[in-house]
Amino acid sequence: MSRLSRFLKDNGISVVFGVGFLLSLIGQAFAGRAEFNEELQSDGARPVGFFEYVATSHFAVDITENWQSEYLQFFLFLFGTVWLLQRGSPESKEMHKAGLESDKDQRVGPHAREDSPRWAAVGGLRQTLYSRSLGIVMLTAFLGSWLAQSISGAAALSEERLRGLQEPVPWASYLLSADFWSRTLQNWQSELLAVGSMAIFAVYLRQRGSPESKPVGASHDATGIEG
Amino acid sequence: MRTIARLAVLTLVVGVPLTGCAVPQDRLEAVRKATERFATLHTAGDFRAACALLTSAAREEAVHNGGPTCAQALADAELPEPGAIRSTDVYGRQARVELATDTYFLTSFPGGWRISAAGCTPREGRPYRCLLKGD
Repeated sequence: MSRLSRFLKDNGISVVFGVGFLLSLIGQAFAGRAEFNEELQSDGARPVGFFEYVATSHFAVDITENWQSEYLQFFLFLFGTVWLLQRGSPESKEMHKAGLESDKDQRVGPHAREDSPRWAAVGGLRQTLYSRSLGIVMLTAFLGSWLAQSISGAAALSEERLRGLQEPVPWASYLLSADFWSRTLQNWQSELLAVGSMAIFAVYLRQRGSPESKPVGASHDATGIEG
Repeated sequence: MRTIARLAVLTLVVGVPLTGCAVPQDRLEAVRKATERFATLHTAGDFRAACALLTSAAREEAVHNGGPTCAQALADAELPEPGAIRSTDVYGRQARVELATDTYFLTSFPGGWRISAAGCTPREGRPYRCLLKGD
């Protein structure tokens, strides 16, 4: 097996989703530019070129409003499923495991193995931080992209208002605006729906071979098993 | 791979917000200069040169509403004496400049900033009322 084939086999998920992300982002830029130019032309303004468009706040707010909700979804799922359970769902731990679990179960401190990450074996702040590192990164990405959404959204709305000879909107006022909360909540509701329905559907439905599903023959009551 | 991941996070957390909030000083300065140039020409009565600093939409509207030429329409518009600049807001390709007596709106073009509306006064909950503006 060549090095490239081995790399693709070892990294199939990240490569396929990474390429899909880039293609979708480029597609969004083309479609977004066309939509923005229709808006500009109806206002009698000059249309923008492709590279000019991808540097606009209009493009930035459309991207970041989706990013923030995706990272929020993963953060809530990671954090919530420490304590929240769903009987029969492969997305849930077994019913007696709610909480942070014992050091032995988590293989930290004296229970760390030879191949455990170094920070799992050491105690103190490093172990505390490493034990929550995935959630911390997801939360940071969520807060960063939500902040970016608020700043670029305020700029995009202000530009649109100036074009219509109206006052711009300061960032602090934008945080209380209908535009900000409409963009935010329309994304949050769809993410929460997707996560909640996945947890329930996976109790009764199966996808043979997927680690996100229980084995096809597993009982509906079996919790915390992934195929 | 680790460098790429760091760059991606840096772009996400730092780069994207800057798209919306950073207004370089030279853009603010260009908007102020375009405003001052128009105000100076208008005050000096050089309406033909002042017309060249309007957007094409504002010029057409001036001719359509006043006429017969843009310069004549500008002379008849009775814009107030502009006074000093009090504040400048720039968002993307649009800008607002508040002067001592009225407000200007500007639009960015490849050749520089052009006046899209002048002699504007605010109205509660509605667009500014402007003595000169494009359609």
